Order: sequence, then structure tokens, then C-alpha cells
Amino acid sequence: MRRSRLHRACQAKLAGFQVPRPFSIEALCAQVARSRGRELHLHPLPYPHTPDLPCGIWIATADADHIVHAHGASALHQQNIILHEIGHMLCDHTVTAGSDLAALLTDLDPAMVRRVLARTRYSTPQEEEAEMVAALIMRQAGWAPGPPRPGGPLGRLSDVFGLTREP
Amino acid sequence: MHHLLNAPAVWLALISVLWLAVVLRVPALRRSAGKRMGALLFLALTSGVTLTAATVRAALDSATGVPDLSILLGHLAMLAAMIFSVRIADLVSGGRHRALRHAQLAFGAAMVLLVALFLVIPRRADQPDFGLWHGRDAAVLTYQLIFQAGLGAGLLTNAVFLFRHWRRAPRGQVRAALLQLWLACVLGLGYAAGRVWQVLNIGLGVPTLLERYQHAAVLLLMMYAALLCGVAGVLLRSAGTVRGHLRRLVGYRRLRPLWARLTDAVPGTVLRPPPHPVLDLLSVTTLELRLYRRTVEIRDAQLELTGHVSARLRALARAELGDGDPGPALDACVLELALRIRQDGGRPEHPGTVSWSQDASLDGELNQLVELARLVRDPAVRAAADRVLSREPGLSRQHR
Repeated sequence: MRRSRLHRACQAKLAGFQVPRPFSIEALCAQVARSRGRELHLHPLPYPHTPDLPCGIWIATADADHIVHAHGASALHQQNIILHEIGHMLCDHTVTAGSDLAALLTDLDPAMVRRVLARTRYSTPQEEEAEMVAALIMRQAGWAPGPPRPGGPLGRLSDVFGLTREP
Repeated sequence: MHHLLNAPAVWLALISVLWLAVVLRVPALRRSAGKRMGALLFLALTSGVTLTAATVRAALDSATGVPDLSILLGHLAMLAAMIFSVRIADLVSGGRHRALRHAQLAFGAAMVLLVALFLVIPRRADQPDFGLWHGRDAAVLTYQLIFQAGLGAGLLTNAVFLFRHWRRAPRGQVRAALLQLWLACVLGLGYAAGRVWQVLNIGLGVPTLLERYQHAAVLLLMMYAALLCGVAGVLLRSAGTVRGHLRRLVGYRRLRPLWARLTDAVPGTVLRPPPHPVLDLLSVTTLELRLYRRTVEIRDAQLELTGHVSARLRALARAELGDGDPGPALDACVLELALRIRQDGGRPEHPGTVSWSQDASLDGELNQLVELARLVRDPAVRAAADRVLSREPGLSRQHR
């Protein structure tokens, strides 16, 4: 799939999706949890990322979603790892049974885990979609946040002249 | 000075910026009442200013066949702008000040009076601008004083309103923009006062401090300065947006060599290859998205590549770079080592360690990576990598 086609396909999947404002990963996770009616927990990996392991994993159990993520190379990179997993959720991706990933998580009870997806290489259409969705969420959140909109009359005055970013 | 200010190029440049600001606000006509008023204010102001030019006036009067109609329309546009500006103050204040509503009615009444007086004042097609040819006529004098008084009252109201909000605004872009808008009102107020003086000088012989041509030049200068301040205040954010976009475009181009080198070594980190360089340059609307992907792909590759460098090699690199915290230079040196080890067939066996950057913004990440790209090319960093490889007996001599 060409980049532009992938872009359009992911935009279609995100139709109607609104990021919280002001944007933060915590606010986004709370919003996704509300919309899915399930708790969503973030678990940072307690050790540095190693090349043989995925840097992010989404584990869906019967009543909650868990995102396990690596430290990343920077705050923005770590945010992208988490957004990638949220991308899998928003696209309703599933993993095929007997994948390498399932073998990786042998300690998890198969009866408990419904879905497991991880961010490794962009070797499958699902991984490509999740990565593009992560980028599109960031775009919706705004690349340059700009000054915060003041409240009250000053905020209304700023809106009239377009002095701050629209709420 | 007067000739310079009247130069078509100066006027054309100013009027072009004003109309650009109007065009940028056209979509706001379909939004909230406040935004609509803001757009109408700019449209009315720009129309009024456009009609101050002698060539535009002559063309309009000739086309309509009504002498000095352009002057009336220009003045009505300026008073309409005052109505819109006071309406904005009313909306922003939540409709709490009855005086603001009364002021709008007063401006409306002034507009009706101007039209009525326009019908009785002496006007001739071969004597354009009744103020110059019939300045002593009572109707002309009254007409001009009503217009300048209305303009002055509107600007004074806006100056007071903006000053109050400017004082309350926190430091930053909004405060700077409000200051510029307030300055525009103050300069406009000075212009209106100067014009009243000029009208009284022509009509009643009230003496002026300057020669007439000097007085006219000062008034023109004040009008231009007021307009520039107003436009600068309103376009401040747009200018910031354009500046940010250009900085990202330059950064995107500067990251290409680093991105190409890293993704050649770790091709699996590329989501989709970017388009042809020409198309890449022309795709303005997706620049930030492509830049974001470039930064993520560089970081993915960096994290994977640093897995080639053991803690021992990292410590050697740190020692080679000297005392203190080498920070990004150490990242660059480790990356250089990793690329050479991978090129020689090494496998990533260690945890990837990179200096953590707290800044989660795209611009912050861009700055970090542009610095990394510069340091990777730095001869001192490359020499440090050479020395590390030469001291490590377990590594191939090819790396030296």
C-alpha cells in the first residue's frame, strides 16, 4: 500500500474521533477507556529496551486493556509507542493464533488474554495502520500547541482575533 | 517623506497585507458571532483605507458618475468598522455595558447624518475632494467634524477596552498582540485629532504648528503606522505559524542524511519510503506528518542500533569525549560505533541506551535530532569513535 493510500485509509478509520484538549497521553487513555467501557492501564517496562523484544505491547483481558511500553529514545518516541498500541485498539486489530508474540508471553493465561498486539517492525498491514494512526492522532493533537487559551473575556477576545489556538 | 509615503509601491504593499488579512478571515464569517464581527471589522477597515487612495477614488467616482461618492463610502466603511469593533467589545464583555450598545446607535446615527450632509454639500467632478475645494463651507465643515469625531470616539473606546485587557493578559503572544492593537488605536486617535486640526485650519483658519504639507505628511505617517500596528497584532500568530513551518521544512531537509544512513542500516524501521524529493518538497500540507515520521524512524533505528554497543564500549566512548557530561556527543559517538559494528556484521545484543529527552513536542524533538545529525558528522566525534574501536581488541580492525 502506498503511503498516501495508507494515510487515507487510516484517516477513514479515525473519522469522528476527537482527541482530548488539552492533549496528553493520560487524557487520551481516559477517553479511550470511556469509549470502550473498559479500563486502560499503562505499564512502563522496568528495564531498557532490547532489540529482540517489542517496544510496546497491547494486552486485552476480559475486562481491561493493558499497554506495556518501553522507555523509548525520547518523550516523543515513547508517546508514539503508546499511541501505536492505542492505534491497534481504535482499528480493532486482532492477532492470529500461534503467533511469535503469543510464544513470547508464555506466562500469561491464554484463557485470560483475548488479544495481544505488539509494536515491532512494520511487517504487517496491521502494524502499518497502527503506526499511521499514531501519527494522525498526533496531528489532530497539534504539532505546535501554541499559547494556552486564556479564560473569560480575554479568551473571547483572543478568539475574535485568532490570537490563540481554537479550543 | 510625503512623497515616499504616497509612493504607489508603499501603498500597494500596505493594502495587499490588509486584504490578505481580510481573505484569511473569510472562513470566520461562518463561525461564532465574535469571529464574524472580527472578520467584518477587518473588511470594513480595509475597504475604508483602500478608498483613501486618489486613484481608487477617481476610478470609483468616474464609474458611478457621482462626484466624491468614494469619500462618503470610505467614511461609512470606517464608521461601520467602529460599530463592529464596539460590538466586539460588547460581546467580549458579555453585554454588561449598556454604553457600548448606545455607542453603536450613535455611530449609526452619525452615518445617517453623513449621508444627509453629503447630499447638500457642494461637489463637482472636476474638483475632486470637497474638503479641499470647499473646506470653508458649513456643511462640509460639519460633515468632516462629525466623521472625525465618530472615528476618534470609536478609537478611544477601543483603546480603553484593549488597554484594560492588555494589562490583565499574561506575558506572551496574546499580550504582545493586544499591545500592538492598542498602539494602533492610539496612533489612529492621533491621526483623527490631527485631521480635526487640519479641517479647522482649512475651514476656520485655526493656526497649525507645521506647514500644511508637513502636517499632511505627519498624518499620513500616523495612519500607516496605525495600520501596520493593527495588522501586525492580528497577524502575529499567523506569522509565528509561517515561521514555525519554515523551520520544520529546513529541519526536515537537514535530517534527511541522518535518516537515510540509519534506515539504510535498519530498513525495517521505515513505515513507507517518502515520495520523490521534488514531490516531497511540494507536499506542504503534510510536512509535519512526514517530519514526525522521520523523527520516529530515526529514533526507532537509533534505539535498535545502540543495541550493538556494549556498556564497556559506551564507557570508552564517554572517556574519549572528555570530562563532564558529553550528552548528545556521546549519543552521536555511540551511534557512529553502532553503525560501524553493524556494517561489519555485528548483532544487537545489548539494551539500547539513549540520552532521554523530556521534550515531547515535535519542534523539541527536531532540535534534538538536528543536533545529533550535526554531531554524527563532527570530526571530533568520529575521531573518538575511531579511538574506541582501536582500543577494543575484540572488534575487527576494519572498524579502525
